[in-house]
Amino acid sequence: MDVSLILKIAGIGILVTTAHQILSRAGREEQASLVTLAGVIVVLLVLVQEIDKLFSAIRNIFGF
Amino acid sequence: MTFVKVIGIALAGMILSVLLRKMREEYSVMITLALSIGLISAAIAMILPLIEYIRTLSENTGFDTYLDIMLKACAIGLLTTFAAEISRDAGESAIASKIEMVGKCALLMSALPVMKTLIEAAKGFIS
Repeated sequence: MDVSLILKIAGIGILVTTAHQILSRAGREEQASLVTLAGVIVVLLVLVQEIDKLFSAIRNIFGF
Repeated sequence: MTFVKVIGIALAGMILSVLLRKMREEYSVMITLALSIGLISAAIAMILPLIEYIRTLSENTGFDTYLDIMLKACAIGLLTTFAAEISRDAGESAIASKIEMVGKCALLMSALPVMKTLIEAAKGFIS
């Protein structure tokens, strides 16, 4: 169990929120939404690997 | 990893998730997902010696196939609850109930061989 993963996701979330607010205040709505999308994709890429690890661990231990 | 440490990490992650729910909904869900994966991994790592012990106990008793089926059912239940609860937390209770339905079907199908054996035994008693 790694705390760094949770902190990483929270950090990306706070960063993306800040970037979104700055960009939308500056009147660049479309870039703000792109930043949001990019953040979600980055976090999903990290999470998919973790889900894969969990599934293979369960498959090994419970003998699927 | 000790129990207290795991609980502390879970509480910290929960607070982060609540903090981010106000700002961005999707990251809250993702933190929940990451935290759930970590907690399930910790729980499995904790229970692993017990599973190994039960396996060694059942080695020469002819209980092997049933133990495999039971462990498979445990895994199906674990994964189904994991996915369904996260979907429900994210506000998608329709998807959660469908995930549970799929899990129940998989569970029934994995229990089918045991049912077959039982019915064969009953047939043997009757005839």
